[in-house]
Amino acid sequence: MSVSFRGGIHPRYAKELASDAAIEHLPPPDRAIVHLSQHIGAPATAVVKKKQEVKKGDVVGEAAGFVSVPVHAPISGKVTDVGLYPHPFGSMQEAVVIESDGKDQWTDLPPKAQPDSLSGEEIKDRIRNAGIVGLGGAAFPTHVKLSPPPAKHIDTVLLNAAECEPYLTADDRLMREEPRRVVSGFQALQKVLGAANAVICIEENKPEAIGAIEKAVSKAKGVRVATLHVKYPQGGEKQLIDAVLSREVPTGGLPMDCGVVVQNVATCAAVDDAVRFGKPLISRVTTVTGEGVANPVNVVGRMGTPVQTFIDAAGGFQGTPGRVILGGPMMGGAIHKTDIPVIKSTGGVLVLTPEQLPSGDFESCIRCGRCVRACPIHLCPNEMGNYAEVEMWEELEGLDVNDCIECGCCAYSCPANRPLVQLFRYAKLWIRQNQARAKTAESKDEK
Amino acid sequence: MSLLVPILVLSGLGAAMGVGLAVAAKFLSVAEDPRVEALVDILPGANCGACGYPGCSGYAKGLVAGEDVTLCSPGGNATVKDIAAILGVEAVTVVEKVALVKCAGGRNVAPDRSLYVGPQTCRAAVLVGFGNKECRWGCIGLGDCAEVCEDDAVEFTADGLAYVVADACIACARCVKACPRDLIEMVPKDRKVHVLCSSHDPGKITKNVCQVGCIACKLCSRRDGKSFVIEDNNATVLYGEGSRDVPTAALICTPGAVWDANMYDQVTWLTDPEARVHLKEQQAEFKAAERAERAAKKKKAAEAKKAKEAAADKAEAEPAVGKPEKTEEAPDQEPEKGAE
Repeated sequence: MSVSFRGGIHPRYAKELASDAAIEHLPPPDRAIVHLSQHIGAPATAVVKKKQEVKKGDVVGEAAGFVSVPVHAPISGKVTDVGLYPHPFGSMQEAVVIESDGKDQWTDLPPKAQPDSLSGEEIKDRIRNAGIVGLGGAAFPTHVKLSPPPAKHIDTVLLNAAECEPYLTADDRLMREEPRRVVSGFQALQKVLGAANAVICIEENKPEAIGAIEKAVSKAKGVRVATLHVKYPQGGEKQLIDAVLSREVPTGGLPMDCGVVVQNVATCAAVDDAVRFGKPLISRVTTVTGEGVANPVNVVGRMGTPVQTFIDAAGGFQGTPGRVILGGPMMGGAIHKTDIPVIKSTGGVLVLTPEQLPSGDFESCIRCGRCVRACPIHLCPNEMGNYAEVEMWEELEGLDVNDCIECGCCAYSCPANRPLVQLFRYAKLWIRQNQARAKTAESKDEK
Repeated sequence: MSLLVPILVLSGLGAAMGVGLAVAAKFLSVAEDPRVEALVDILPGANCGACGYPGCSGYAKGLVAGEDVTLCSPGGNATVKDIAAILGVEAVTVVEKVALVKCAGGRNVAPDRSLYVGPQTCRAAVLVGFGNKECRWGCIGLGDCAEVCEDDAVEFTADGLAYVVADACIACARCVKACPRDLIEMVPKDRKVHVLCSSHDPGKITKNVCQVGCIACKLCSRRDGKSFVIEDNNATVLYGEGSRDVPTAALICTPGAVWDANMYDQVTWLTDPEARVHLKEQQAEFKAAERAERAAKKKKAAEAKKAKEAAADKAEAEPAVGKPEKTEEAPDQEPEKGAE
């Protein structure tokens, strides 16, 4: 029996484009632009200089604080520049450029180890030193998620294998081809957290993956597989917890507030590499798909490889590309040129054709209520959109706009084509600014 | 007759209430400082909020309570004088200000990198991948500043660049807060030389994304360190005491980020490509003239040296003379009067 949450949408999944393509390895790039900001939190601080020789796996950026991770060299070679380069999120960010020496030589890695022989703290250290972040898209440092405050008891850890974003198949392929690696990494995380329950949550539309994972966990104790109804955003943390455990994450809270930690498939695979072999996170599986590329593929690419290399691996553009999106169609971000390097959170390169793009024109709300039915957080996007348009921020705060997870279900279901998510992001920004302003005014008064 | 009764009743009622109100006004009145009313009369009545009070009457009350008399920027010096006269304090001169958009990058010189669809405000646009302009510091041109300007002082060039019409600006500074890219600065009204660029990217990047962006080459700050300073890859004009309108600044700025209002008016400068061509010619001329001057000086110095050496040769007993003084930087010249 499959489980789910209330709300959500059923977009065209289009997973068949890439789901049968076995994972291939891209050759290491000749030149890698390694961004120091590949995660949520403080960007790493560069520790290499121009003309310095680095080997694959050497630290090029040290973690700057607790909510931060180190960044490693994805190839061996010479550092040619440390400066500002275009970032997938649209801005210019500091990056380390490495020119390959063609040897692709590993640095001295920590000794190999079995997860059973390591303590929880040792595993956590290995994860932090390997620069592992949540690879589902948000890129939140994994070791932070593994360090709940002592007051919060974690009883369940979930493996988020829903992969509810349309088009993307990277996690699906990873589970089919390397289920043991995924499960082993997941069990290492369970050990760190000391959670009694571990659930692997997979959407029903991946029967091969379910089969492979079930086989892999048949010997493991305390790990079960839950099948989920196919619905977007089934892989949202809050929706997953609701569907599998019937628990609700409190407003403004984190999953750990209700005793749960959620981790992604690719993250678990990376954790396994780090724990067993001491390998840092320098590559990941990325789906290159969409109607705009010739042969959709799943490839393992190094961080810092330009997006164009990925598109070439999929046989190049088919016709005129309409839009190139890093991530899935629902929550991914469009990029404006293809020489931008990929970062740790790039799980998909999606190329859409011009015909698939929305016009961008929108009309007034017709109060049909489709967005209300679709909202997985049970907000009222219709009202919120209207208030945001006339900039009534206090009313929006009252409607809990800050709880919006920006999944895009409302905008997807809107017949008037309203850019609701963007309006809410706009509102959140204003509310944050107003709060900051009120705070400074308060501190002034106190003086 | 039947009509007369209600008329009488109502007028009687009205008269009685009128008397009541008159009495109340006399005996229940709250004493108010008469200066407040006088101050409200002389304040501009724009209710712009630049002083930090909700409106002119708020500021008037604040003034009576001892607030700084120079806070009304729309009123300028005349208002300060009036306020000082009413309050019986000494008038101080304030520097009258005007808003200036510190960006000259219309789409003709600083192109877009992508298409933006969605709510048409600058603040919403920068949320999508930090804006659709190649330069991540420049004016987006969707008019958040114009939206808050009640005097219609903000206008746009055909290439989507906002600029402030100085004569219409009352210096309420509302646009300063509205701009999500912090491009607008309040500058003294009488100053003529400004740097119209706010990019903090290294020159190499700025050069690629904008034809008129400051590349932080330091030519201006080297010429007059009291009027220009290079901070974080951007040249900033210092408007404070001791600074001045460096007349040659526009003539030495290679990318043309310095705007000299003495040479070109604002609209010509921002929209007319001819102005840039003309400036380039002026710059070349100026450079040549400076070079010639320097060469002449050098020649002169060399001749002097030769003469001295000759003199030294003559008087062998005397110790050798030191090197001649280093050539001074060419002094600032008046700009060539070629601008229309």
